[in-house]
Amino acid sequence: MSYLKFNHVFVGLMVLSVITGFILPQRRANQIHPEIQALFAPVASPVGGIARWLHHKFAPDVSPDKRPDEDIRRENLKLSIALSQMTSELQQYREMDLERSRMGSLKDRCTIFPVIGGDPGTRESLQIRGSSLEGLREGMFALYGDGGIAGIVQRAGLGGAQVQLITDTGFRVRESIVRLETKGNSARIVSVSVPQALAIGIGRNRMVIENITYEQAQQIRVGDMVVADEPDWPAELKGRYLGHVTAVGKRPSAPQFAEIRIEPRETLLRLRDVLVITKDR
Amino acid sequence: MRWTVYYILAYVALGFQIGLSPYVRYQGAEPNLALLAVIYIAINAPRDAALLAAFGIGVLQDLLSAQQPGLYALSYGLVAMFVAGAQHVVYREHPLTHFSLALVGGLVTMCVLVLHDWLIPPLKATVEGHTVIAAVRVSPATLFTGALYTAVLAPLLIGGLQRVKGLFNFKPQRRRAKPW
Repeated sequence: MSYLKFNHVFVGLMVLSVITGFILPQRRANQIHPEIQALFAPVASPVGGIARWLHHKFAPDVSPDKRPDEDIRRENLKLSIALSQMTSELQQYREMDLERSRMGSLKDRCTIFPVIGGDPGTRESLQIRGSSLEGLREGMFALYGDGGIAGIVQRAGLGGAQVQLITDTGFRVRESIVRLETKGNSARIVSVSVPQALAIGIGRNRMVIENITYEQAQQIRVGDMVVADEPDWPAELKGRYLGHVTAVGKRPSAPQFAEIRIEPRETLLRLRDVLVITKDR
Repeated sequence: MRWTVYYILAYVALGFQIGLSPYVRYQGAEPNLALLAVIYIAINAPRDAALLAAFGIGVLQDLLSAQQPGLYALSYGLVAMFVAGAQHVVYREHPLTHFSLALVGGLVTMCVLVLHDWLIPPLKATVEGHTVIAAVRVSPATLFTGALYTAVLAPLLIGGLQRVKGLFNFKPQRRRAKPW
């Protein structure tokens, strides 16, 4: 290829990258986007495994929850009481509604997909070893652990899939803040803020709420639990765990509003596998 | 340039990037191993091959990232143009060269990503009830930390790769002179 011809080709490629990067809407760009995550699994998975082992050995994750052990034990006890009460209530509801009991738990409708690794760019997403042949589709919900929400499948193809995490910059979800309250031997979970406040991912395994006034935020405490309350999401995801409140303060740009920081208990980028809700009811 | 060895380098660099990134983050910033591969190729390979190879690594990284596709391809194309243009005036084996080129490469990539986020933020400013929610963007400070982090690793990784330069056969192919 002559020098002049190569320059033409290269300029053409650069112009194409400007078009896909800056002009084409991301949704449209994703449609012409082949999925190749699984191709990198033979290198990324063992490297990730070794890095995980080294990380746990030499620099294990420190919980953002700084409360003393005694407080946490007390909360665990309260939670056990509340859980037993709620389990019995749930059993009553199930008996009342046979149709509902036939539905089974959400986990039965999930498929486990191993995580290949994180995002090679600056965003917070997970590459998972699964494909559209296994039922993965864009927009499906990914859970982790005991049912906390990890994120949403952003792209899925034959060669892999990508999950956008709830902590990714710009991810938005409506949520409620709840707290466990006890009186004597009884415990109950109560809502402590206006429902359907907007939580936005800001990266670094964090989310932020900015649309609650500082006055409303006075009742919110560090350690309160944040659960999903998104009207556009399926009903079974309502009340699912998103994170814990780690800081409550004034919004610097608008002091009459609060800035509430939220962090999931686990670092979502380091999940080993995710459960994607692949089956309909 | 031996393209098979290039493919292996690109594959391994991106594989390591995916596998390591969740564990080596510092304040949300991670080193960009693919950028180091781009700089290594751009300081050694002939200009045309270097530009194509850098663009190719960028395309692969775009396909693996949640970012809008095209940003890394554009960034690495620009980085390769700069580095390939400077390859005759820099001392290719010197750690300071590796550090400074990686820092410049990181800053070029940062500029492209910041410009993109500024024009098309991941979440545009919205009004929720009576509250204005400001646009949410990736922090330039995080991107700058990532560029510095990559530059600090450059002497070690590019220096190591320089020792196996022979595998890549970077010398340009000489054209046979036509017999009279």
